[in-house]
Amino acid sequence: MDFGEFNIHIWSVVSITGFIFLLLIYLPLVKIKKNESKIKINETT
Amino acid sequence: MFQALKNFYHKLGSFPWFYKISGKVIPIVGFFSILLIVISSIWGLFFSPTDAVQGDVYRIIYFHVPAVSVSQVIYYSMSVAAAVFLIWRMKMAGVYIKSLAPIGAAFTFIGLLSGAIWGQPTWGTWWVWDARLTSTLVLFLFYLAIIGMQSTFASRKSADTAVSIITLVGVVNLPIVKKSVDWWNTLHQPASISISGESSISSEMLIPLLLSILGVYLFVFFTGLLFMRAEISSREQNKEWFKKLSSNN
Repeated sequence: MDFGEFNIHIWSVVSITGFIFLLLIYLPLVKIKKNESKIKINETT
Repeated sequence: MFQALKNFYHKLGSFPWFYKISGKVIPIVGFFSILLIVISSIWGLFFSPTDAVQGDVYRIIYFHVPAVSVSQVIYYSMSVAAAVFLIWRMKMAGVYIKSLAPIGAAFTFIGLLSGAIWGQPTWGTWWVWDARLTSTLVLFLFYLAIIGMQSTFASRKSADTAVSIITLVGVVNLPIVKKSVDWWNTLHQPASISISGESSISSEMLIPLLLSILGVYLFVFFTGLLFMRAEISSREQNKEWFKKLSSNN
């Protein structure tokens, strides 16, 4: 495929896959941060 | 050797040990998985040759094949964890199933969706009820059932037990997904790459494909550790070791 050539089928797969990959990283990270920060808040109050 | 494996198995069941070790492993595995995925995607999208029959649209293979392959392997690994949970009541096995189910569902979804997007220009249709597609949809439904069942039980132990049983029931579907293209006359083509025999695609296309498969497997290892860490942080937030570890971070 040439650079700059746009194929709607390929790029829709690439963008959906990329979005799901980001979610798979983001969601557990947020949960871990939330649970760890709960402890810190409890300690300060 | 056996003793070392036995010790490792016992350590693996310890939440504090796992939480500590996974914190060190995650950044390294994450870096290499993303690097491999980026390299294989660029290679596959821009530098591998165009297919004589399908043109450029075949490049979806670099996303479709790794996703469907890993979605089945995740389910196999979950069924092993389910057996471990039901036999030895190892809590970590319950954590494993709960953590890997959304990842498996995500990759099955990517496999189904990329297959539909690929099918439209090559087969002329988004979807057909043939054996491969239908059995993969059943796999996706099993993943959804496992995720859904987690929240329907008041006790964690009952939820883990029920989910383990459902996981073991769903394992029957996996040989059907794998062999469907051989057992029935399907629109979906047979496997292009084979571990035992010769692959039917050229090496210029095969190398980036193998790299992307490796990258996705590493990515699943990376996100699997992340999800397990998140699950442990939920289950153990009232435990002394977790409070100590969190306040030190």
